[in-house]
Amino acid sequence: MSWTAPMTFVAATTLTAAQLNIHLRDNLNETAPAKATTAGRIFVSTGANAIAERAVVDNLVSTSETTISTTYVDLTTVGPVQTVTTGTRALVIWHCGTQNSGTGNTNFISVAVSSATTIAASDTWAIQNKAAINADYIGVSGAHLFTTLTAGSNVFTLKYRVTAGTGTFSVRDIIVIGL
Amino acid sequence: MTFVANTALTAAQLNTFLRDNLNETAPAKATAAGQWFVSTTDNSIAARNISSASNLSGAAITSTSYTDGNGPTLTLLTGQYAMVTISAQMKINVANESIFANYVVTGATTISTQDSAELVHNCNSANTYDRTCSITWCNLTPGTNTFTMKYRVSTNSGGATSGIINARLTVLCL
Repeated sequence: MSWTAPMTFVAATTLTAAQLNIHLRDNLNETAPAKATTAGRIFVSTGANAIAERAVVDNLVSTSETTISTTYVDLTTVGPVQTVTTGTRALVIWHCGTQNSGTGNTNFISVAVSSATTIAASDTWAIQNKAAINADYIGVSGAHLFTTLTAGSNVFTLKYRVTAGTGTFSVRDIIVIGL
Repeated sequence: MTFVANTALTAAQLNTFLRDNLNETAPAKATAAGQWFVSTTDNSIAARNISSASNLSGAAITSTSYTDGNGPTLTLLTGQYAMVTISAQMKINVANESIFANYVVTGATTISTQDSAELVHNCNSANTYDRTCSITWCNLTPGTNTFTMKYRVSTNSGGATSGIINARLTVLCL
């Protein structure tokens, strides 16, 4: 079933059940109300004359945890993590409170994608904070539009690393808008 | 319209209430993948873009007033609103001085740099990068609007090493 450009009706011409099924029933089934399954969703185009329902979801991990890893890793409590059905794009917004045990050391918080797509966490879109004062705490936010996803179920996970010292990460939140 | 028993249904009615109304729905408005749908007024919607641009190579920033730093820039068709996020890795070559990032809007709308959108990097050691982002709401004149990131430093002390890399601009058109 797909969208068909609505026909122009002509006076004194028989209107058939087949025409009504194509131009009325099937087209109505391609509109947003027919696609809506859950409250709080948005609708995006998947191509010309085609739409899909997508989720806008949030996950928060309040637990404060640490790492000394200089490469991206999970913390003891993995995440936050969100699994979202997407097209080829998704907008991810994230926030974290962060501090480091040593002055001059930098903490990085990035996003990795897995499942339908594999994209490693990268400094290219990471938020990063260099501790000006030992154990100085700051809240930082990031946003990144992923544009090369494989359409399907994708998992978005916050990942963490430091340049040195012990990085502490708390109130870790991720919002994913599937597109 | 409300259909009434024993009343002829005309081609003109079907064209108005079926054909023309279906042509106002999201599938009819969708022209490409990656758009989303917003209301433009009562009973009217439009397809809008969510777009992003980046300047991964970066630029040296020496001006103490906002200036270009090789963008990034986005030119988009918008309605009355947009949500704009900016981010960049920034460093300043003098300890305890600052480097700033912001954005302006030109075209149908003119918006100068705003304190609410400003990113600031101030570090007690020189030549180290930090990165965060700002997310702001824009009131726009509907039409073609251009969003451009801008940068400045608080002091120009031979600022060849003050600069930005991996700058990213994302605009959600509404």
